[in-house]
Amino acid sequence: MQHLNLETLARLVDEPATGDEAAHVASCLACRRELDEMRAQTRALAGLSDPEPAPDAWFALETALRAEGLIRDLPARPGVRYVGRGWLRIAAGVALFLMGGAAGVYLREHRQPQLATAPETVRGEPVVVRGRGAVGGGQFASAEPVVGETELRGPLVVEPAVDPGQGVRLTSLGGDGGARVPRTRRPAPSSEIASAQRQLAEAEAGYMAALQRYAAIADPQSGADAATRMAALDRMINTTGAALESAPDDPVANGYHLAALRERDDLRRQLAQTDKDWF
Amino acid sequence: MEDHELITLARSGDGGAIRALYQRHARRVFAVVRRLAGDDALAEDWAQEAWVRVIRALPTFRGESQFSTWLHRVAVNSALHGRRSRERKAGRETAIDDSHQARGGGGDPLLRMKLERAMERLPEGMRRVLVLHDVEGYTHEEIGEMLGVNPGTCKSQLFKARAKMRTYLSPAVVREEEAQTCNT
Repeated sequence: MQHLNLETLARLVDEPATGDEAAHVASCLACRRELDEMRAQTRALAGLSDPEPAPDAWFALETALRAEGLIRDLPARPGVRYVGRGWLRIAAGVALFLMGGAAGVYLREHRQPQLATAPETVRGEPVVVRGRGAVGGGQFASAEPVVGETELRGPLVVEPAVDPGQGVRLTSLGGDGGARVPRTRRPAPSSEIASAQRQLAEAEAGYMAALQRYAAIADPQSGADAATRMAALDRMINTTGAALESAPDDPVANGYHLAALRERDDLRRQLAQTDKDWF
Repeated sequence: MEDHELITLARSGDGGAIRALYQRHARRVFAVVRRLAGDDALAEDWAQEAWVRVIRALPTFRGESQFSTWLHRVAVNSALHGRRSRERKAGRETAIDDSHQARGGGGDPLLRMKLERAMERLPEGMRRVLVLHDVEGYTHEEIGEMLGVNPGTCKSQLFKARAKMRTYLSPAVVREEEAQTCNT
């Protein structure tokens, strides 16, 4: 009989063998050894240690977060109590976030690149700065304050603007006759964009209304019976799942999807417990 | 301080809290995007992108799932759907060699290096599934959802990836379909 091939052995690492496969492995030393090796390989992968990020990664991230105004120089405020929010507020937050994200995607697809000359301050424009240079005392790797893309050429100093809304300040150090910065700008809204924005707003309003409906029913305080809540949670999971198909890396949609999944799991456990008690 | 306390402070733009969250979770985030990207520079971009997205979205984080679970999922999705850079891909081999020497982890360094290098050689689709299943512990259903494929396809890719890894790690192993008959 032929040896089992590697893909079959790979399957047998975590799936049961058919009768023939089991009989062969039992009688074939080579295949048994190979299966053991395959299992050892899988265990080794699961036990891999995590590589460290670059030591200066935090500084690059901090620059990006400051540029977006996500880090502010505030006095320490210990003891602030986390206050949970209800389904409705979350639903509204998701809808608003998705509306902004979808508009951003649309506008990003429709922008045209233009050339500008450094030094300059990019004001209120959605730009991404990629390149390497100095930021204050630290090293700049890349910053991604909003959307769009800017490629840096020549020696430049890159600094967060004083007002986060102003974006990023680029200063040429000279040496190449004035660095040129290919920069992207949003085009003036056209009727096509305005129409798309209207359609988007209508779609988002419908989406928000649907989420609010499901959220109100799924809320444990709603008084709805378990089966109704389960159905509402299923619909919410489907809805957020569909949203994730078009915006898979959207953190809010992911968070909301996970929260709804967890709520549904909890409800299932409760129902299972109820069934046990019933017997 | 617990994650939820840090998150509360981080929402108001407290840099110290954000940095503490980063220090606590940065390694896991970087590890998963690094393995999915197969490239240090790309992984750094994707990890940063994931962090920016998560910090931006903190005001809407409800706290019902673990912060680490949420962050990990955002990082994975950022990596799966991130844009690739041709230039960086072209310079990939050099970057990988440098990174392995500079970033040794725990366990047997030689084995780790062999495994990481073998993973780098896998076709992208196989690498994604292998990393998500065998390294990160996601189920086929979860991976299928993230990749937009059915769990059966995911399994098939995984078995192919494991088989390829085996040949990369032990080139002497020849187990082609047409090969030997079993005499043992």
